[in-house]
Amino acid sequence: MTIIFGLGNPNRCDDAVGLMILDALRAMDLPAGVQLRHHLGDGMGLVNALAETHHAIICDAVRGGQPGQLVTLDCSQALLPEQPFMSSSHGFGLAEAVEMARVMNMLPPKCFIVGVYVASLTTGYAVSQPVQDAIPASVQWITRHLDLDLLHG
Amino acid sequence: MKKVRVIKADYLARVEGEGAMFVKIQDGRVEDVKLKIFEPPRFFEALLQGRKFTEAPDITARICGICPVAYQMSAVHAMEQICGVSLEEPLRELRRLLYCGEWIESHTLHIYMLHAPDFLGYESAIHMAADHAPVVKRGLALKKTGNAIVNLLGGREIHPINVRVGGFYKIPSKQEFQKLGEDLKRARDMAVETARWASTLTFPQFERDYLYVALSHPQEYPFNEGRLISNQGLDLHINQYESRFEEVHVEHSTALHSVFDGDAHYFVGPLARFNLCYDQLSALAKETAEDIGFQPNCGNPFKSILARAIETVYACDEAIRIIENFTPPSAPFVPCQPKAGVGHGCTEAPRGILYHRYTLREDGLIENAKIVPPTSQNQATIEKDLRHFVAQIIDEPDEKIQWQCEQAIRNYDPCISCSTHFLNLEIDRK
Repeated sequence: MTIIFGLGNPNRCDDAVGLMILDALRAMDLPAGVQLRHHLGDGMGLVNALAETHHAIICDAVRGGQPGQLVTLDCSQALLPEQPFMSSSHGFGLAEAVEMARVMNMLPPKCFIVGVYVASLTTGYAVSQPVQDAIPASVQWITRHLDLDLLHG
Repeated sequence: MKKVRVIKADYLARVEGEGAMFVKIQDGRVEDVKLKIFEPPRFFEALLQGRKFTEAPDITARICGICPVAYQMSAVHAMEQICGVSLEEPLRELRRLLYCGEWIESHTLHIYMLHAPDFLGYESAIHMAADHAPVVKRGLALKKTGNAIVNLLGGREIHPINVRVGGFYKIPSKQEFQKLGEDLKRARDMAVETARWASTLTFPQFERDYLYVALSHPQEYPFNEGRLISNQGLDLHINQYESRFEEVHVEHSTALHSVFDGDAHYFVGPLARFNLCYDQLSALAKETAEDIGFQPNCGNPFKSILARAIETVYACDEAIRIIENFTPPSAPFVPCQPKAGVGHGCTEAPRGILYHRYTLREDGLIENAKIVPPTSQNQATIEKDLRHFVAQIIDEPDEKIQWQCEQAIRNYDPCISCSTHFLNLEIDRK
C-alpha cells in the first residue's frame, strides 16, 4: 500500500498546498492500493501513520525558496532539515516525525516529500498564484513517480 | 569589581509557542529572572465579540492544537450556564470521555517527547529515540489511543468539530465505542508501564511550599465541573473566580500573569490536581501511584511528570469505565435558547484550570469574553521556581544551569500560544 499524505492548515493561506495537492489527486484515476490521507500536523501521529506503509509520499508547504517552486526529497537518501516545513505542534512537525521514524526503523523503505515553496502563511484562505500554479506540476511528479514505482517496484 | 553572569536562551525548544528566559546573577546572587513571552498577543477575546454564542466552542478551540477540548468544554459550560441548561447522563459522561482523550494525547506528548529528554540528557526526543526505541514506541502507541478517542467523539484528532453548546452534533455508535474500549485496555497497561518507567528517572532535589489550585468534585477526579479549592483553604464557586484571581500585565511578557488575592502566586495543573484530588483517582491510578512511591503533598515540581503519568492511567481507566457503561442518549444535544446574561466556565485543561467568562446579549451575540489559560496562571510561579532553583545550583557551569532551568520550565508544560493568546533562555551572570 502507498499512502499519500497531505499536510497543512487550510486557514493559513499557502500552508493549504499539501491538502490541495491531495484534493487534485483525489479527482484522478490512481493505481490500486494508493490511499490519500489528510494529516493535520500531529507529529507523533505522523510517526505512527508512516509505520503503516512501505511507501509514503508526503505533500507539504516549504519555507525559504522561490514561491511556487517544487522541491522533492527522498527521505531514504538524506536527513531532513528542521526549519523549512510548516506543520507542527509543540515544535514536533514533519522533519521531527520523519527523523524519529528513521532512528526507530519505522520509516517506510520508500518515503518521499513533495514540497512547494510558499509566499504567505498568514491567517486566511487566499492561496498565492505561484503556489496554485505549482499544483499541476506536483501532481504530475507524483503520478509519474507512482507509474515508475509500478514499473520497477 | 562586581562579577555578573548572564545566562540566556534566546529560544526555548520543546514548548508550545515562542518565548525566552533571562537569568542575571550578580556577585553570586540571583539578581533577576524573567520568563519572557514574546509571541504576539492573539486577541481571541476581542475576536469573539459580536459572534454567536454557538460559535464560541469552535472559535476558542482554535487557540490551541494541544488542548482544544479544554477550550471547547469551558466555552460550552459557560454558555449553558447562561441558557440555564445542565446536561444529564450520558451526554455529561461523553464530555468526560472526550476530556480523557485530550489528557492522554497531551500528557503522553509531554512525558515522552518534551520532558523525558531533559531527565535522560538528550537534546531532543529524536536523540532519545535512537537509544530508547521501545520506550518511545510505547509513547507513540499510547498517544494513538488518545487520538482515537478525540477522533471518534470529536470528529477529528486536532481541533475537534463535534462539540456544540448543549452536547454533540453526532454520537458514535455503541459498536464504535466498544472497539475503542479494547484499544484502551492495552493503552491502560502502557500507561501503568509509563508511570513505572517515569519513576526510575532522577529528580532534582528541589521543593517549595506552593499554593496549589484545582477544581474539586465530591465524586469525580476533576474534568468539567467542581469548585475551586486550594491547599490553603480556598473553596470558591467558579462564578466567583474573578473575586480572588486577577490578571496583571508585566512588561516582559505578552501574556498576562495571574495572581491570587492581590499578589500570591499559585500552581495549577497535574501536580496540583494530584495533590488536591488524590482521593478521587481510580483504584488502579492510586495503586500505581503507591507502587511507584508517589504520594500526595508532593512539593517537587520536577515530579509533575509522575503526576501526568498517573493522570494518564486515570484517563485510560475512566475512559474504559465510561465506554463500558455507555447507553446512547435520547438525543445528541439539549436545545439551548440564549438570553442576556453572564456565564462562567472553568474546566481542567491538561495544564490546569482554564477559566472562561462570557456576557451574552439577548439575541445570543457575545458582548464580551474573558479567557484565562493555565500557562498565564503558572507564569509567576515558574519565574519564582527559577529564582529559587538557580540559587540552589548557582555554582554550576552556565551550560548546566541553562539545561536545568529549561527542564524546570517544562515541569509546567507551558503553552505559550495559549497564554498569549514562550521560550529563549538568557542568563546574565556578573
